[in-house]
Amino acid sequence: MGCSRSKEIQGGCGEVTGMESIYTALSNRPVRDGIRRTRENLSKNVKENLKKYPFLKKYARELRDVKLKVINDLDFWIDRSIKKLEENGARVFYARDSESARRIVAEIVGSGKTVVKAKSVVSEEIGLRDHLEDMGNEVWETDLGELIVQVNNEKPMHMIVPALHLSEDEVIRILERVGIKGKNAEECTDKVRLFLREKFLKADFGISGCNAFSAESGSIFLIENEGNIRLSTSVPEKYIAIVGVEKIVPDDEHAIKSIMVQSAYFGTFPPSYINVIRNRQPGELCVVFLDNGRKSTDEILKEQLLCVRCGRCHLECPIFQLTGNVWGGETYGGPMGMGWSAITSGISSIENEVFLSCLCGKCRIVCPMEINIPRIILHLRKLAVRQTAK
Amino acid sequence: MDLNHLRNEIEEKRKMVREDMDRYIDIFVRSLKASSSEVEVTTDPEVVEKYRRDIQEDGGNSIVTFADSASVSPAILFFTGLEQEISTAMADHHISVILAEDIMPDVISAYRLALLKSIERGHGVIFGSSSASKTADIEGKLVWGAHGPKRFRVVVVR
Amino acid sequence: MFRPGKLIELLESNMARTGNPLGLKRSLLSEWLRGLPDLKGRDDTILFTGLMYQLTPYIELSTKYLQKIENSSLEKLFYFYVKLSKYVNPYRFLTLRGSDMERYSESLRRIFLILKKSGIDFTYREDLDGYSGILLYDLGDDSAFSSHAQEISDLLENADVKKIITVDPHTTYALKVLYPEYSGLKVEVASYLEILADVIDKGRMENLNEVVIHDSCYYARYLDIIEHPRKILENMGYRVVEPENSREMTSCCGGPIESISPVFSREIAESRIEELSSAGKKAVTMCPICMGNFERCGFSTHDISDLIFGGMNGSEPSQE
Repeated sequence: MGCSRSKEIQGGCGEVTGMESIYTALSNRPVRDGIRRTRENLSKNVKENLKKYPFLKKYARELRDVKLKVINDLDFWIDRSIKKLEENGARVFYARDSESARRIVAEIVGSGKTVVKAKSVVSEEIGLRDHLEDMGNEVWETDLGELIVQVNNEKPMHMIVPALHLSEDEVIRILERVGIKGKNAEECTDKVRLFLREKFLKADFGISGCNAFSAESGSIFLIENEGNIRLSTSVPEKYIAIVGVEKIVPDDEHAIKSIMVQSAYFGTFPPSYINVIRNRQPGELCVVFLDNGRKSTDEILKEQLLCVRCGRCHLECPIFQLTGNVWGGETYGGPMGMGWSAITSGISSIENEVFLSCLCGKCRIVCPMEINIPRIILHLRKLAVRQTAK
Repeated sequence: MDLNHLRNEIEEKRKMVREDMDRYIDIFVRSLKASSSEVEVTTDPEVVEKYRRDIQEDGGNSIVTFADSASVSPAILFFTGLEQEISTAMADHHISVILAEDIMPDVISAYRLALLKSIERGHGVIFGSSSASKTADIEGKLVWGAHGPKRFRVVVVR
Repeated sequence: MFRPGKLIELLESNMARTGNPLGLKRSLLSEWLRGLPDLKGRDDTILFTGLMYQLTPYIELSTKYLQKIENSSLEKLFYFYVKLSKYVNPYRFLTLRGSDMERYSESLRRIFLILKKSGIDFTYREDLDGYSGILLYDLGDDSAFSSHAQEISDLLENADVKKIITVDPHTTYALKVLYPEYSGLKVEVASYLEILADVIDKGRMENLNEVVIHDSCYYARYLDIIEHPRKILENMGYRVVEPENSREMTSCCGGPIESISPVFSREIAESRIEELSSAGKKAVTMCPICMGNFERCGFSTHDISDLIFGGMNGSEPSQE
């Protein structure tokens, strides 16, 4: 019994560089305490939601089939969505990669403007905030957690709960840097409300991502609990939505099902607010569709595009529980972050990280879209090994 | 979009709810309370005027709006129109009136009823609310009134 | 974190030399056979250990060393050692306490005896037993896994084997799910727990202790072997206690990444140990990797075979 390959694999699957940060995260106790607390709260909610509303599981199964259909025929659905939006009077753009998405948004916004942003992972993906700031704009994250990490100049520790690793005291100190003075969570929240209210009122542009997009009506569907998305998308005269092309579903019914599933599996259900934008009159609606690798995935990686980004796999993953979003690529971390990083930044962005997974498979069990995440991770390992063996 | 088809579909759902109104309202009220919203059921349409007066006296930044539809469970109230969206988003206290006949048996048909009304009125936005604004972004501590209304009160008129 | 490529290189070189991923002498892996009665039975049904029980104490031993140098400049020592491994047997330098090995040997012997006692007719043949190659697969080394799977499959099919009884989740997954796909193996494969669940009668013993069950990720989530161990334990009179996160929601023991990152592996084990130990005093595992990794982190569990054996013979296994 032996192995056919005798050649030495040079330097492994790339040098293990950039992995020091996971050890720093490991020794950063608040990260895991924050994740634990968040998981304990949310997992209980998810369980209760699914028990109380049995239709959610049905929605999820149906959504998987429908999304699969769209993903297998993306060009058709993108085309249909663009036509519908133009019919509705929106300005529509298509960005092949993050650089062109940045450029498009920067051209729309120009410089010297005030921009209020809803929390959006896709805008992190294209590095939008930094870019707009570099162009001489004042840009504010308006989700409370996202504002905190913006001020603290760091990466969100979880897609939906960006500041879960920071204690109340740390938040108080961080917010003081922008003149927001509160003695506790409640006061800080209230002061942030006043602080950002002023920004909303003077903002020239509101920018958001998109939780689901209906090709039938050309509507952007967004969910939230704070009300900042509602303000960002309605108060400024001009509103820009950045839509990952995988967010497209055929019709409004499935867009509603998608946001229901996303919020239920995240753990706050029903969402406090649902916002559906078909057109913005008075005002202007600009929609930027983003490809950035989504259209050129291979067959196994493609399944990741079904993701509704509920963040469930993160909280249940034994590695994420120790490192938070540090384990992953530039934007996307955790189990789903392996596939998403590979799609949007290429395999090299996570070629070492994929080997840290236990392949324990809990992410697959908890995923509402039943995405075989361990299969994707294993697939990425195979590609990484093959690449070095070349 | 075939509006007549949509109208017929909504009529069907209305009939369904009408036949079992007490139970639907009961479920609706419980679902709202589960989201920490305040809710009362009344048969007096004049109650809305009472709220308007209260608000004026109160002097606070409050608003009374009519919901276009609502789903029974989970209870979500839908509204249409950009102006109304902005004013409810900015209010400290959102009082929302819903006619019992506009309560739909599920979220999708509630959305559809609001969609129908938005098309009829030429409104480009539809929005739904199920509770006051909230956040748990600081150490997981639940705080009401993050950016939107600190109180969400629902009046069901039957 | 150790370089995955270096680990693969080490595995490949060890396997080329010895057929097992640690490069151990075959005789070390057959020690468990000592004192067993006749190994022969029906010759188309074989017991296939996959060597996992035998390898585990050695894996734990090297993990203890690797843990000390992880994420330090001493990691280089390991890469140097990888280079040497082609020429030198590393375990000349590492010594295993006899008692550490004995635990795993004892579990295997007990599995053998339980099966015999339950009337299962099978043969054990050392020449038909081997490592499944699962670690190569897990590390994404598809080509090496594929050729290894082919060799083992040919060996089994040439010997006219019709049924294979496996003893651990990783080997079961390899033979049952991966081999048919990679090397077209057409032999029926079943874990001994699946077989025992059908034949062990109810009520042999009453009022044995309660045990906290730790499901293996591979059994529970990859192979749907969830009820079998419960049924066996309950039929043996144990009261099975479910910890927080069990069945298909079971938490990982950390074992799968013990060679990539012993440090992370340990942290994961510790959080699972917390869940298990808060559910009861005595925990039962059904995978040598789980047992070994918990043991390394200072938490003793009972292999399920020891409990079944104890139940059959009317005595509790002694506390280690």
